[in-house]
Amino acid sequence: MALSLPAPAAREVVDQLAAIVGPEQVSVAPIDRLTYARDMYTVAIIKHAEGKLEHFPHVIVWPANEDELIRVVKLAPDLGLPVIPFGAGSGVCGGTLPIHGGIMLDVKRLGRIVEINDDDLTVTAQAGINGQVLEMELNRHGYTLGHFPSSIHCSTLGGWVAARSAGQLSSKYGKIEDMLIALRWVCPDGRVYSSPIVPGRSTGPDFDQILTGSEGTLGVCTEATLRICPYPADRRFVAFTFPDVPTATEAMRMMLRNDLRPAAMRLYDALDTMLVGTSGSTEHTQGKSLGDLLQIEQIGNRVRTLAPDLFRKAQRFVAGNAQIANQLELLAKEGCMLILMFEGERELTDYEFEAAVMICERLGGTNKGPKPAIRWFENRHHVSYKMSKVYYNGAFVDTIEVATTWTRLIDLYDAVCAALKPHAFLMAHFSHAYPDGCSIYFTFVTSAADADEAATKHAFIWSLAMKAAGGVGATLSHHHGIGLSKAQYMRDEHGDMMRVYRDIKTVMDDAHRFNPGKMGL
Amino acid sequence: MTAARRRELEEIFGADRVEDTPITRRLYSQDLTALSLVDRRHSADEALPDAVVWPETVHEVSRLLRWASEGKVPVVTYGGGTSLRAATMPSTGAIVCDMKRMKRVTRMDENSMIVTAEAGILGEALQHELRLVGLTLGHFPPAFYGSTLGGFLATRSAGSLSTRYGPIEDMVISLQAVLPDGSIVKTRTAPRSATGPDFNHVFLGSQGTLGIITRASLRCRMAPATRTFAAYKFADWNDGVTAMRLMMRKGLLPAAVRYSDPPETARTFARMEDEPDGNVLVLVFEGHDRRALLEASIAAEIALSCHCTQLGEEAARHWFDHRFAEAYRRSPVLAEDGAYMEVIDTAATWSRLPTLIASLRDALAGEGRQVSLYVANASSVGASVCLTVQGHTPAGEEGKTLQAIWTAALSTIRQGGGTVSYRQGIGPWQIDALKEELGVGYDLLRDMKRQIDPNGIMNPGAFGFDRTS
Repeated sequence: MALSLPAPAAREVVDQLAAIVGPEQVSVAPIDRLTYARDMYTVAIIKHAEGKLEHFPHVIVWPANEDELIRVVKLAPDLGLPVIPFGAGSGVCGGTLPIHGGIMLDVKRLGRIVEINDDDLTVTAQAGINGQVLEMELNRHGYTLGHFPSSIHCSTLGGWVAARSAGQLSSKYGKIEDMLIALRWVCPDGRVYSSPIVPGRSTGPDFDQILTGSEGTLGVCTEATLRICPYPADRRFVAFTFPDVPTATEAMRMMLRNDLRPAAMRLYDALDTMLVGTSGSTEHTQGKSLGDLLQIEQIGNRVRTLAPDLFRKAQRFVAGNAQIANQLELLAKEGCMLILMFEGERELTDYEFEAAVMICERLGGTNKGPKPAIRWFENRHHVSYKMSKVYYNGAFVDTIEVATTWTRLIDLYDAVCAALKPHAFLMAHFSHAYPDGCSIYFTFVTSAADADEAATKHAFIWSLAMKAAGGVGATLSHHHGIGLSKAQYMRDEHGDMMRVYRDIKTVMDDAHRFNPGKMGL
Repeated sequence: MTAARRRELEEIFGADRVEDTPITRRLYSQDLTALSLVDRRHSADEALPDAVVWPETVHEVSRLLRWASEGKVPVVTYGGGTSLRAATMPSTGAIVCDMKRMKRVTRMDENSMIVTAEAGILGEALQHELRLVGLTLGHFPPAFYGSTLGGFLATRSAGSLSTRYGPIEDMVISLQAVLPDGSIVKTRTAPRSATGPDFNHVFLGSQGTLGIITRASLRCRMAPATRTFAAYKFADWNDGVTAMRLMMRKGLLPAAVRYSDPPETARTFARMEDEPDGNVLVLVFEGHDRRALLEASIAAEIALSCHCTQLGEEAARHWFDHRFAEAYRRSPVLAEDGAYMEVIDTAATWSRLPTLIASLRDALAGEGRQVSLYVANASSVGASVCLTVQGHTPAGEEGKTLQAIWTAALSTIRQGGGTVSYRQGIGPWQIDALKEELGVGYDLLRDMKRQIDPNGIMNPGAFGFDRTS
């Protein structure tokens, strides 16, 4: 494929940037501009594959430190270019797409751990540090951050803060905003915001929580201080099956209500249980994923043995005919699988484990022992990578993560299922639970002839999902953020509060220089 | 207030919910701020509001603010009036908006353990409603009986059981507020969200400067099935601080953890028979039977490994039962000419806490003055320090003495890495220190205020955000 990109930044622009960061750390090379033209947004992936991406950055810069970064930010108005903060590009909402071109401000060279404080149980690190590197370094010192997004190998601390990321162990450790003690942040005008490292304060509104989640629209994170925990001394695993989703979510609610804080608490609905291979009742299912299912040669033996006829149909139609694919649910005889992991101090873990088992059994759960949970734990970061196989078959996949209170949770599940199942193969898991509510993570698969059709279909399915979720009062994103793909729904989510967001934007970035066109601003 | 203006307010509230009698205006012209209380012994000068109004619905609040914006009339939002930091001290000509008639619990979602209530409800009344359905908010600030939900939110307060239940900002799921131009905004009730900035935090801690919080939904917990008490005495002050830190590190979540120095111990337990003395650590665990007992026994092991002696549980019970009396003990002291008393709170990370406490003791010591303190609100990161400074000066000198105490305290706190306010909010005399602590963050808050409230009607003067400053 011949690359034909719009004009890059002019020579003198590159020279001015090179004067700040050095010539090696500025690029207008077509391969770099192409690489930085998309994140992991489904529509962008498809367009990329077909050579149909429309927007490219003018230039990419890699500042070495905060000083250089500030100088780039201060130079941007003179250059007349937007600035798009960039971490590792693992976002799934098009949050870093350069829809107005501009300077890609890649912060990955700000990758240092500044301090691990043993007394305060805090880590201060620069925003560009890779998630896995940060966690490994903490482990080496006997700590964990407890933040395990499935993108941990390809996302940065700054990205987590920018998009309000959640990890797989959020029920115990919280989301990134719950771990945050202090921030360093370069404002769009180049000023450095830095909040005090104290355990709590009553010094006016907490601006950290206004900047967190702003997805590059209010400036760029350069450093964060987070609370850490001693590396868990003990881990206990167990899995239960429940006849249906409402019974299983009731067990989750009762555990949290009774002060149990499992590190992992993941419920798969019937289809997800069968296909993702958490059931553990047959060894063939180990490590299977949605991607595998859609790879005809590698399709799960379990489905094949259970129903050869339907299996053949599924082969043909799974990506194209949602209604048939969703019939697979009828095969899901095992019901829903709930995976639990407890970790921490031995005595406390033992107590929580026993209390959880009691609750699950009392509510009609069938104890499946530790194996399915251990298997999940060992393969927990693989799912994101297996997704890519889906695309080889002309199909595409996306995930929708919404959240609401326990009281409305089943309404939310039913509403989104009813809205989407006629149009896409759909399954769900419930993987971030809190005493007051829970998120639902829907995965949908469908197919399209080309990128244009995919974009249309994708937008249509999302609009149905957002309408269904909004209709029961759910929040439209639990941890993926808004970016470009959900920008049009910000008004539905926030109503007149968008005025407050715009007021803050006006105060910090009146010219809309930072990540323009995102977040519905 | 002009008759025309009064008529306009009566159109919104009816005649019986607008008052401008001298006594009412005086009553609403002060809160519990020590500096202003001592000043009033010697001076008749005081800024009086023009009137007090009592809205009953969010729409009345909206009409009030629209009216005030158009006429550029200052509005001071008033809850229980228990601020120690002049948060509700009106400027001359202001309208005081007393929220206490908006006090309904509008929704009780027992299943999700979420209560939704109007901002004017008193802390105790809210807790009472929750107990009827087996829940607790777990928010017990010293002014529990006299303060409102809106006040908690506007100052980001923390209660004595915050180690287990968190400070108020951790409990807030969503809120409704009225912006200065009268528009009604709200956030979504969801356990967590990733849909941009957390707009709850625009209003939390804003001390009435950005609008009026009218309603909030809060996370609750199950009312505890059991409660255990323990107390320990440490010969060396720093050993007790270490014990607290190690308990937090272990992942324990006592409801209360409160460590007092000898003078504070004497004050706390003055009315107890066989009262303890010295450095005393009080621990309260609550929740499920087995869990509470388990945590208490792990805590005991940690405490004893830090060189202490075990006291009976009576001391801990006494503190627990009398913890709200503290706020009321101030009044006799303050009634007397020449007497003064001030409460100063800060917080710091564990690594800075021992040095900060030692420097505060040095900086505040003085002739005829007692300084006492306790450490509380512990988390894995650090804890709060609450100091009480009490003494006598010649009559008329009280204000000057208090100013000197604050100056010394704030510069010591700034140098020692503490925050200028842990949970009381910011008074006018703390603004310079606040600017130092927040840096660019202060400018951002000020600019946000000016953008959201271009007419400067909301609690003018607070945080020093005025246009003229």
